[in-house]
Amino acid sequence: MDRAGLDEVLKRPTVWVCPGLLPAFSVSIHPMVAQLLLGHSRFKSEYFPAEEELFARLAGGVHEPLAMVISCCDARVVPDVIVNSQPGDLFGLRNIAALVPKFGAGHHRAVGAAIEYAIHGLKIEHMVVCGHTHCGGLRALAQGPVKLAAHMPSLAEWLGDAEQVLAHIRPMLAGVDDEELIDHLAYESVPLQLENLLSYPAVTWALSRGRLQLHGWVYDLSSGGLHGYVPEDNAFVPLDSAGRRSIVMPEPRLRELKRE
Amino acid sequence: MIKRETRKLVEGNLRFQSAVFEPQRESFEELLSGQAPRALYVGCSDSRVVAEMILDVVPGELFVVRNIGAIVPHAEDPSATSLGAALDYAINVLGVPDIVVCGHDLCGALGAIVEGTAPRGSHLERWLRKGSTEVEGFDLLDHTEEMTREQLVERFIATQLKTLTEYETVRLGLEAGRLGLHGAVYDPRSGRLRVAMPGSHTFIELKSPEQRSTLLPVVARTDAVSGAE
Ligand SMILES: [Zn+2]
Ligand SMILES: [Zn+2]
Repeated sequence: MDRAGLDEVLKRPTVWVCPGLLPAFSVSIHPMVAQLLLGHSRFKSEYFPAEEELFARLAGGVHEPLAMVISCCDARVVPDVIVNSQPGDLFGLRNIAALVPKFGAGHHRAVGAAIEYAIHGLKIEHMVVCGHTHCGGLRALAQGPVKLAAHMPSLAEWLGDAEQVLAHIRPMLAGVDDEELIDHLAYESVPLQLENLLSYPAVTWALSRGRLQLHGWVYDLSSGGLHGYVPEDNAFVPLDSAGRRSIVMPEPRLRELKRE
Repeated sequence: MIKRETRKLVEGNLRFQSAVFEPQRESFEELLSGQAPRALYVGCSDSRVVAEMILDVVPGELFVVRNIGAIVPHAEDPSATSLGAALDYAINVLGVPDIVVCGHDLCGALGAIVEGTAPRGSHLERWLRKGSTEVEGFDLLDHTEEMTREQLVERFIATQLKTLTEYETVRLGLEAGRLGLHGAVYDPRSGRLRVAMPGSHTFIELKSPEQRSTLLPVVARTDAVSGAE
């Protein structure tokens, strides 16, 4: 779709029609909703009919996702797109910076509920924490949540949980410029979120029975590729053969994860 | 080392790189400088409800929060921090002009709320209770009205929209006239979307101009819209 043309159209209210109601009924809707509905109509007329069988199976109550993916709200990082999956494949939790607050941290409930439902309800066997480079949430963290507290108290509190990430990396990266630091924060954050996952009883319960595997990924916005965390080596390796370098973490830790 | 299930995901990423990323490398590189999403979408974690597919948007267009049930906890509840942080970031940092809360038919979370089937004392149970279920004197959990599940999810989403206005960032945005709130419900059986009509609990399916029905008069502007394709 031609973006400029669309913008022009969206400046004006759009009149849409409503099937099932009086033929003369039409509504003036918000330009944003109109835009989303334009996209939706493409989905409905092209994608949905083409995948009729899949959707019928899913609507029949089959909800057996391959994995749960905890990822960032960032509009550029769409897990289902990145792994080219189909509806029904990924159970998705998305929050700022793909964080897993430690169990019992008070505001862990949104994450805890999803984890419990994934493990006990959906019997999910793979749980992925997927961070990404160029993460604005981590950038805000690097700039200091305290500065945010005055006008964005919730964001400050949420990122406050991740301050351990920053504390861990700061001394090791003295001298690097900010951009580099922020990209490295993603690689630093993911293993820590995995470690936090271990504080959830549902996770340790499933791990101890061999019913669950944890995975840590970082999506690289500049290549479209994924790096996966290898606890044994404390390093991120490219999840393909595209020739990207492995990223070795500064300090060995996370012994618990090695049982994975 | 990589098990079969994740192998499938990794292979999917390779397909994405070669079939999507590479051919559109320039568009993806434009995204490196930052995101400017058109809306914040709050939806359910359900794997069958993938916002970017249902709305056919490209990466960069939708800032997305997903949790169990597309729940908006009451702003003063401690578990509101996760969503509150996303609202702070979307509204104050990114200047997102619109928020869409999207529920869906066949939602397991809503079923668990209505039937009270979440294990007692679990986080799931406590989380589901955070989904405010009462609006304007109507309590989802204590209703005597005959209501279909479809109507129930619509009421539920209307309720979450109401709860959003408890958040200070949202309230300030609304007062300043720089924020719009929208509700929608997706039906995984038909692939159709119903949207909330402003100021009412009514959700209706709207026909897009390209799919004009011969029965319905398509009035002003629709040509302009399809002309933008
Ligand atoms: Zn991010
Ligand atoms: Zn749901």
